[in-house]
Amino acid sequence: MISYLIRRLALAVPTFIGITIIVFGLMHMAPGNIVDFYMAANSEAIVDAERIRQLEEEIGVNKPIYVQYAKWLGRVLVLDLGVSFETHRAISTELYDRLGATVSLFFFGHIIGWPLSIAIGVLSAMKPNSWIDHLGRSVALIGLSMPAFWIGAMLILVFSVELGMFPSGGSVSSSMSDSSTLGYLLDKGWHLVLPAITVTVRTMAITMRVARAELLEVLRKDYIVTARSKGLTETVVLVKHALRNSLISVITLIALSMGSILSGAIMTETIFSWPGVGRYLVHAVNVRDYPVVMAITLLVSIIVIFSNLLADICYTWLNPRIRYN
Amino acid sequence: MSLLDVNNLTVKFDTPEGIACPVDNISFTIEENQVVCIVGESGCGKSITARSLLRIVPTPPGRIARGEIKFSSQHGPVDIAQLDSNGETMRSIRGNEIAMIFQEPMTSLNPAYTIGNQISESIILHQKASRREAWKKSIEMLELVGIPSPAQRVHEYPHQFSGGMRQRVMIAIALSCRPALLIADEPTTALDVTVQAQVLDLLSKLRQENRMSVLFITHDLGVVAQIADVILVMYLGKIVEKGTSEDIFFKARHPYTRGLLDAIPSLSATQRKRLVPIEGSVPSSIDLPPGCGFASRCHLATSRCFEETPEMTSVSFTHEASCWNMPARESGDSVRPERNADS
Amino acid sequence: MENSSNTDDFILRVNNLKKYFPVRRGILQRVINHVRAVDGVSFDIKRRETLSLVGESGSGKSTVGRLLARLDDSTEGSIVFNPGVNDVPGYSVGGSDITHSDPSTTKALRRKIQLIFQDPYSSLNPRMKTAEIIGEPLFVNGIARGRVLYDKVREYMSSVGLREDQMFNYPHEFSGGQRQRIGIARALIIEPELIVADEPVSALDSSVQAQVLNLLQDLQKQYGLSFLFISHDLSVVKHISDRIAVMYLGRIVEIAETDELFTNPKHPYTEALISVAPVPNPNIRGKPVILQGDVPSPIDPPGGCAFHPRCRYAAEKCKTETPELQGENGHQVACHFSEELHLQALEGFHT
Repeated sequence: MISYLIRRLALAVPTFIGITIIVFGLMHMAPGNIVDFYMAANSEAIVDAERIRQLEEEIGVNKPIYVQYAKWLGRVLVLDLGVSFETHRAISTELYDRLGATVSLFFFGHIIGWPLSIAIGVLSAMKPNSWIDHLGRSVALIGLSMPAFWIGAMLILVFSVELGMFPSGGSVSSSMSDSSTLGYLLDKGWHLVLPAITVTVRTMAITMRVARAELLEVLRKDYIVTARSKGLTETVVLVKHALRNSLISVITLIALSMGSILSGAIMTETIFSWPGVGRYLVHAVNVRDYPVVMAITLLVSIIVIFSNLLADICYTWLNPRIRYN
Repeated sequence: MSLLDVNNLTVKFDTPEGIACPVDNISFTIEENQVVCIVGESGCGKSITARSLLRIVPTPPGRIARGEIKFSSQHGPVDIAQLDSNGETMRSIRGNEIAMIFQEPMTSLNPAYTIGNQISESIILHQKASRREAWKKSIEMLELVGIPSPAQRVHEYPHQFSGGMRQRVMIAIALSCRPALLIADEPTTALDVTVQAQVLDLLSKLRQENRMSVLFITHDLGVVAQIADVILVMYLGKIVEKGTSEDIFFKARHPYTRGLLDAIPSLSATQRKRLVPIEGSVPSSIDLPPGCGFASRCHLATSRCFEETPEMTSVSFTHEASCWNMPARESGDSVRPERNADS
Repeated sequence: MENSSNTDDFILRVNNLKKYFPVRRGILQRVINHVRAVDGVSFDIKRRETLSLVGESGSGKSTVGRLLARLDDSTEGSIVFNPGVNDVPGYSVGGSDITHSDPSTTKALRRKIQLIFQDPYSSLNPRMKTAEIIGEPLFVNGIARGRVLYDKVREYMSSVGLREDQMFNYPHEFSGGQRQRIGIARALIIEPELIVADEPVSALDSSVQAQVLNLLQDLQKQYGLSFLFISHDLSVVKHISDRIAVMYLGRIVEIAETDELFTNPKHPYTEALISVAPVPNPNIRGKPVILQGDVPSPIDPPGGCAFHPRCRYAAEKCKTETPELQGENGHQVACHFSEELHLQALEGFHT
């Protein structure tokens, strides 16, 4: 197991480097750079070649791309994410300010969404073709067939524009100034509902379907017959003997869908003007703020790679037969 | 009163293709301390019969359409066919008074739990033992079924055991509550012959020590010959012949039983003769035509066999068969070529 | 075997055949050990003979079959096909070692050595019609196509007992026994000389086993075939074989003519196998020799004689020295004490 983990971690290094090279290259292939945006932003309309050269020199974008990449990598290795081109603040500070919003969205979306969808999947599998099974499967089908931006837009249209039940964006009302009151928290939660639904609905649909299919599969296994023949109640058979074995695929799915979950979060944050990391990434791409884009890319790939590793560790707990050697 | 008394048991399956009747009006009894074998080919209904006795046939699609399964429980006689399959009474019999072992030892144990956990589960459930006591009992059971260094192996997982060892673990689970009846569904079919011999030897030893009855299900007539007191021959959901070991192997009256005995090569055959196969194959049990199920493969079949279903008729005090054209008893004696050579 | 009359009588000679599968472990996936599936096996098969390999799981009997059919490459040793017909025209392969033959020779060989599998359910492509399955070897080898091919398919379908009108049915429309007949027809249609049948009746119902066993014997006579019959079932093996080789942990421990093996077994493992084989006769409840434990792992087989941990006659010598397979008159045995032991024969157990 230890040697397996070491091997996996060693393999993660070239993966990181590959990802960052690709993103770095893509960013530089895009037309324009931060200087153009800077000058536009500061109304320096008169094209002054000397000024451009000076700014490029200052930021370092006039160097060959491999030199820029090497410099960036060198800094990352000493845990320095660099400084934003745009704001000249440390990127770690910029991210820290926005991480809370993203984490709360992720938490309320998935930490509630996953168990809920597994529970619905289990109920459907226990009573195939019952009303809950049909309902679950229909909802799953709808959830699967709509992309996040469409779901988000529809939710805004129905629940905030038409019904006025929820706000259409932002993370807190401007009237709330005192962040210590209960009202402030409730207001935050009120703002969270629609984005949280948007961010989780697709994952829930997939998780529900996989949980159902996998449990049905496990319930056909011989050891389930053995468990029943011992005289155990159906609940024990289900919870102790079936559920644990069926979770393996669900966990694989969750780990593998980490990437698409994060990209869904970016979309959702943009739609709901949610002040999180995702929206910041979109903004940074737009203004060619390379260091910020690189920092967030790095963060996302670390999360994806580690969630996969975590899933592998979970397997050994769920199924002792899996030994990594 | 018998330990188990099955009367006119009929199990039906509702399938998309139609209603199948894998167990069709069968009756038999199991006495205390008796080994009853059900012999038959795949699809004859022997496994469904066994699972019906424990009420673990999945419902739907399966259902007991008719009949009774009278069992002399510790708490008095019950009709298992009438019980709620998940009710308390049924669960207190299942795994406790009637236990079962299965064909595939490799897949019959849950891969996620230790052997000890899976044995003690039954003990905790039925004997109201504490976790500690159950664990201790589990080690004793492993020792009883001949697993070396049981105190260590009780902590291991199924994948660390070989096929033969897993079947021993299954036996340990089944016997942990000292059942009155053990149902063994092809328990040695997936095992190597030398391991099969070990398991059969173990089962017969434990059976005598515990005065336990066994319902043994198999397709292997060789195994049947070694262990059976009473044999039930099943074909297409019906018992076509029933009798003592002697009756079935030496005085078989049903053409199917005789056909089976002639079709299998035997180690004890003195000269190598051409086998006499039963022509054709077992038909599907959905929408069976009327008459005797074996008629289409039977060389003795007459028009009556295709129209009327034969009833079980008594041949002797211990022996019954269902056939319209039962050959006379005398001619039946010459069916087995090696009998004269060996006995 | 060496003193046998003439090499022309043999269709196949196998010498010291080995097949090791690597076992990998650790960070660098280094090969740390080998599964010794086949560990030095020598035998030959005469023309029109049925030689059976009998043994339990892990004995390597199926691997030997796969090596002969060139489905796997052997690690060591030689397989000589048609050892006596080096220069006879018409034989594209003969007299040469086929263990690592070039692709064209391998292709030619596959025609001469055909395999029949155990599982009639998974060895047939479910999306192909019967005629396509049976005719495929002819087509692939460029022997026949079109009308000629279908005529051939019809001919072989009838010789294995399938009806002509079943030509365009799919495998799932057949019973297990009929599927095995399809597999047999497919194997025979390119006129092989040697059939390797790997547990061909184990998956079949007992009433159908006899049909297939009879069919195999009839076809052997009709086409003059040689058989390598691989099985765990001693009763079936006794019924069908001319000679029997008993395998244990990748080696042959005893080889003899069928009647000789059952009346005069010389290896303790053979004795145990015979004693535990179930006999359908309740009056024969002999005293079986119950071996202790399981077949050991072929990854790290016991030293000396691999059978010694389970052998009731084992002595010190057995733990250290590996016995060679030797003997006279075609009865060879790999046991240090074969001459001294008085082992129970079939009759001994059955009275």
